[in-house]
Amino acid sequence: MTWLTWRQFRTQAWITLGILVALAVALAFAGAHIASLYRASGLATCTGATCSDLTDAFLAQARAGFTGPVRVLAVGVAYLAPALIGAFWGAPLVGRELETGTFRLVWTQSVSRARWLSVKLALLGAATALAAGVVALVVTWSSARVDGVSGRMEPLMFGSRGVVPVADALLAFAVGVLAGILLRRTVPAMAVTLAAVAAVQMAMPTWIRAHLVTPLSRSVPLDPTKGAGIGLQSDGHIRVWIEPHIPGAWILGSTTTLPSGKAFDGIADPTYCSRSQSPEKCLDWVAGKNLHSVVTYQPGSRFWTLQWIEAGIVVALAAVAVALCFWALRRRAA
Amino acid sequence: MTTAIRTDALTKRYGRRTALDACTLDIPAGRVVGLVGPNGAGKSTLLQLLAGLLEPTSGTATVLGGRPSSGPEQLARVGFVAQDTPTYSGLTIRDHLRLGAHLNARWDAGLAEARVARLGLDPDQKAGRLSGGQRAQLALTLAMGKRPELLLLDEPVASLDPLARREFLGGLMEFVAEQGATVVLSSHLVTDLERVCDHLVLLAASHVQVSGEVDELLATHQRVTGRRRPHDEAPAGTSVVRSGHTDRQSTFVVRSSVPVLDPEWAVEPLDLEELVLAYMTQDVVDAHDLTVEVSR
Repeated sequence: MTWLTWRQFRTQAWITLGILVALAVALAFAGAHIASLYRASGLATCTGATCSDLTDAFLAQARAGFTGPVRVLAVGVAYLAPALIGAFWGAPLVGRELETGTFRLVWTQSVSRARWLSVKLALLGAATALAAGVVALVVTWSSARVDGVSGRMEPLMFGSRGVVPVADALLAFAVGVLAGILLRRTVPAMAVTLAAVAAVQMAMPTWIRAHLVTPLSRSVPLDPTKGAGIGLQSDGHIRVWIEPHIPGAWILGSTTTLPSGKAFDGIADPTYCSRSQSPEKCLDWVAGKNLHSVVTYQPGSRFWTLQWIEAGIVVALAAVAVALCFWALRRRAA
Repeated sequence: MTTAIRTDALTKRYGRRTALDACTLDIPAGRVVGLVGPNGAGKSTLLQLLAGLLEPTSGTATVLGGRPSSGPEQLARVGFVAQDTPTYSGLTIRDHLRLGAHLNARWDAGLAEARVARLGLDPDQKAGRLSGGQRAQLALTLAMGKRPELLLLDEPVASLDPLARREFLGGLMEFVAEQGATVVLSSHLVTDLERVCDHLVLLAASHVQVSGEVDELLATHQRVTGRRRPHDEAPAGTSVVRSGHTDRQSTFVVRSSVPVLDPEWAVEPLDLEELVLAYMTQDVVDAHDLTVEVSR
């Protein structure tokens, strides 16, 4: 079985290896270049306020030249790799056998159907983990310097680093195999797989990731004369906001509250704040309210905790899909 | 005499459609069985049930004493060549033989390689580039290489030209002679099989219409012709398979274990094709009615 699995997979394996080598070379160059930019930037030794300017300069340099597009490519590959693995390795694995009728040949050899599927899933599952692991590793490594400065908790960054891409790839592979078994056709199964992977990759940051660990919240005083934005709306409501900045953290949201902790309703006193009053008067009134901004966020220190929890959930889903593969193969293929 | 295949009320439904209905068979080992019936009669369904590729809706099938595809040991004893002889188009003939060697503990590499050489096939040719006949031969070689005790072939010659058909059946008969295996091969044309099979199973409208040794079937079926008479006045002691009437004559195809001696009737033997045709166009197609007819 091992031989047959390899014989049927080897073309894809060589193609994948070629792509991985090209990607690794491109990212190695970019990573090395960014590392030299970092050394030249003086960020390693800076202290205090100068760091902020140096950071901006370093990030601008990293974004310019060839490293910018390569970094975008790296993120794209990390997101696409699971989908491609699911569509090109998973969906045809059983789907093509059912489509072309070769299952009647291979399932009547002296190897049980369950064993046939087990070996295929095990070997290609390992290849999936390996390929996605290499992608995630080179992306994580080549981005380390920039991540260290600008953080890696933003949803787009988070999902392209660490172990999450590997888990996504395993799920995509399992879903691809299952779709192939259920639909008995390769191309529709590929389409379903791509859609399913995209759905998971969108659902995770949108609805799930933020709640995997209870977010932290931090209350900071709002000074309308410094840093905070303030706006008077036509319905007489005042909006006060700040762009919360917590280094390395993923900001989930912020609310403006009164010192008591109650949310600020934004109803302005027209004797201070209206079109006819001076803005200073209104600012003074707002300042007198002692408003606070309560920011909820996931700190950068939770990167690996969240990575492992999310990866665990996704791998568990993959396990469910694998179990369904065996069940569906026993029940319907045939 | 050992039994190769026994089925008991074997039934397969796909949703509402019944592909095979209460099929009961008992086929002794060592036979070459022709499974004949029109397209859609349930031949493929029956063969796939016997090969374990399908699960029956109800009823049981026992193949060489075991349940189909119940484990590697059972799989090893049964060879199967599916309709349209699927092979891996991207794999070479040599790859297919290696597949056979890796996936079958009892693989006979010598037999398989000798067959490929004798057929004049290039081992490095991809299966996708073979002609229909060559592909069928490759599929047959794979099935033979595992040295099965039972070989199931689903419409193996349907897509072959007469020469390829002859070669295919010739190779099959050699294998049977050497290995003593039981073979079941299906076709919608009895003429494809009549040279090779010694046992016939006729399937029509999801039912087994008749099953038995070819010699015995030929000996017990006759066409009798006499003056015009009502439908139910066939010769005494016979059961009618099919009747036909003109203004002056009545013709019956009858089954009878004793010869029809009544001088009123002109008796002619049937050949296998006529016999099959009679059953396929018989008066009573439903099997339950048929049983009543026979026992009457």
